Amino acid sequence: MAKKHVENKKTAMLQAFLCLIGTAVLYVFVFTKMDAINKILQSQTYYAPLTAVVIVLLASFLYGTAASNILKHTLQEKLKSQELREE
Amino acid sequence: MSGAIEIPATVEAIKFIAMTPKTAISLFGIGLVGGVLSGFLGSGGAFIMTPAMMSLGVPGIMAVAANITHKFGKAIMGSKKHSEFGNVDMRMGLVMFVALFAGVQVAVAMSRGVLAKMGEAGSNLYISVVFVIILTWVSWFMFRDIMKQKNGTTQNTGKTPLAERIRNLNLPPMVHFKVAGVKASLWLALLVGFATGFLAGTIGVGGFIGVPAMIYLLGIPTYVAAGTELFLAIFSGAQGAFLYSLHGLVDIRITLILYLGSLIGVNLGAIGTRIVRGSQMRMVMVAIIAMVALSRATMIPVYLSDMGRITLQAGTHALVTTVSNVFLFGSGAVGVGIIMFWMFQAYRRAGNAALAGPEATKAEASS
Repeated sequence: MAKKHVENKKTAMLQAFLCLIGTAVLYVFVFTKMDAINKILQSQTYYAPLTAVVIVLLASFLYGTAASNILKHTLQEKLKSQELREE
Repeated sequence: MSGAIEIPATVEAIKFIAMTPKTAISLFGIGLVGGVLSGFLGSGGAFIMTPAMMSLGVPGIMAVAANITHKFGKAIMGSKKHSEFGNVDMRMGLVMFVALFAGVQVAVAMSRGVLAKMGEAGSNLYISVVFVIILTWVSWFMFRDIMKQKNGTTQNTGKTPLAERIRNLNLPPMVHFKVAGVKASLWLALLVGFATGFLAGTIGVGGFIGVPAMIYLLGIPTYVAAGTELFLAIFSGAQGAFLYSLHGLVDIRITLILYLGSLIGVNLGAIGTRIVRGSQMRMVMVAIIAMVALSRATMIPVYLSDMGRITLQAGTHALVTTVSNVFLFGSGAVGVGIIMFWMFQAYRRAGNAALAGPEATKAEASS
């Protein structure tokens, strides 16, 4: 059981690490290509929402997964003994 | 909550702010505060994030656009986290969304009428007065309920007598909301959704109404109300992101930097819901709602002055606006401060328990 937990933690942390790399790549890409991206976002065509939504979904998925995995196996695990559920 | 997503006819000039390190750090902090509040309460990010961004020089409409676009992703990740904890009732969310959407449309039509009849200052006054009346009533109602529970005058079941009375109406068809663990009339759920949407469309902060309405009128546990509210925010976030970016109003840099703070915050807030009681969550909500209502009440003389009904000197005008902002930003600071304080306390208790654990085991082994 404990071994499986360690393996889960390792997998989650590895996933978090990969997601953080993905986040960094996405952010560098967006911020270095800002002029081109802004041109699309200002175009007032359907490409604008498409571009915005794709960037938003990618960023929230990558960074959100990384943050969630890291906090799940650190803070959340530490606070497990303090969980309450009275309702 | 599905707010009034309406693009003003006269869009102010689009201005991209310079992204200095100071601005980026400020945006990170704004995102973190908004994220913690959203994760913990299911709502409560927008009311503080939009004015905070405006104070950094972001034009109002672009601040709203950045906030709502970022809300889309934040709500997806936040409700994913809440659903891990069993806090999201998707059936309830979908039922409420339909009615809420209609409520928003009616409210927007009414607000437009007020704007046409009374002008911008009159419209601001109308919104502020509705805001103050509704939010004061909600915070007073919740405060009284928490006090009653604390004094033991009601059973600590999480279901108030009012919710029970309304649920006893048993107006068919009855729907079983499995995750929330309640059986409620479909009409009642639709009515709550509509009323919430109407108020969201009128005063722009639906979550402050939606979460208490789900708790008190439908008898849903506070955790599930918060999680379901975040699930609902996915739809309004998607709609808002689509509309604002179609009008070229989204500054994607702001959205991305907000994520750096808010996605940590939303996870922290969701974890926070695990270590507190429902009454504690409601207490934080009451504190924030009351301070926001106070902030709006403070602004009423300013709007009356703008309408020419009363005379305010320029200095007084600025002072009253500053006091109002102090209440507004203070409400976020107080809310996040309380949540973080409770989490820190729980963290320390957990640390002590972990230390005591091996000691106790050793003592047991030696005996």
